[in-house]
Amino acid sequence: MLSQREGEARVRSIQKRFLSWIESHPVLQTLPPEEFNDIRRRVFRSTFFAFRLGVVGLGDEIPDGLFQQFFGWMTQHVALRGLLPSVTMQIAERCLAVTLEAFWVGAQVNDAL
Amino acid sequence: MLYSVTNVQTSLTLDLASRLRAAGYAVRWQTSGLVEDETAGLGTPRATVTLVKEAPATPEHIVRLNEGDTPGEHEVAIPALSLHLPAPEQKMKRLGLGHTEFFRQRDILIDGLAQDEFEQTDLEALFNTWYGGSGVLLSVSDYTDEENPVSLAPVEVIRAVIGTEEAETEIDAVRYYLFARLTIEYVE
Repeated sequence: MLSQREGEARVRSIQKRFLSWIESHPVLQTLPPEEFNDIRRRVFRSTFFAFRLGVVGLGDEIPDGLFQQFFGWMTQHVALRGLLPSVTMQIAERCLAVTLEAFWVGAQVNDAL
Repeated sequence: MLYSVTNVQTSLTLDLASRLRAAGYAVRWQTSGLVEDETAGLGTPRATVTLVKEAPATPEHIVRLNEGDTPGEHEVAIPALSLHLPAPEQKMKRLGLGHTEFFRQRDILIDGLAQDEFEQTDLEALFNTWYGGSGVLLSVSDYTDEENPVSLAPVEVIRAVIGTEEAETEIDAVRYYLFARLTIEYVE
């Protein structure tokens, strides 16, 4: 069980870890800065909102919806369209993993309420 | 004028402070230095939001503090928000034929800086929750007699544009900007 403040600190740490990962990703680091920033920002926001959903005790149906949303968005993304499907999938899975992690942190805060 | 700049600005700033406290933030009033929170000693506030009347003209006076530190006399600690009335009110239409009262509109700008992207998103989401729906009513009082403010009819938020920007700057404290531009309507 976590306090709201501890939960927020965990999510910030998850976001920092994700940032390190995308900054060192061999394909993502070659993207133009605005495209790179777009991906970073979307994942930061998705972790934030997943955390909030966890805190309020919602989200049984999150995983499928989130994955579809990410994958749909990534396959439409101009900068990512030319990537190998396996690379796109790898990025989508990573985005989903950090989002779910943030959700479970939120769920631990919910347990403490 | 009951819906004067002073009455509207004071009322909506107090309302904002109350909403922030209810959301788990402490509030520091820049003018008095007073810090308020609603944890009643049972927890730690998520952060302390400084409410400022005017943002400092020089970004060097906007600072990021370590926990437990207090800002200097001329410093504003982030997260910080201010609430302005950037333009005069506008008479939109008469209440009805033969009436002397008008529907009036006025813009309110709440803007400020967050410590990081997480907090920026959190405050943006709170702004959307508080002001983004339809039929949002905000309480306004007449503070002519400061000891005994008189409640007026609430104002309605008829438009809300809420957003964030990340500034390209080397000064870390002014990087995460957010704003809510509201249009309120009332009859006077």
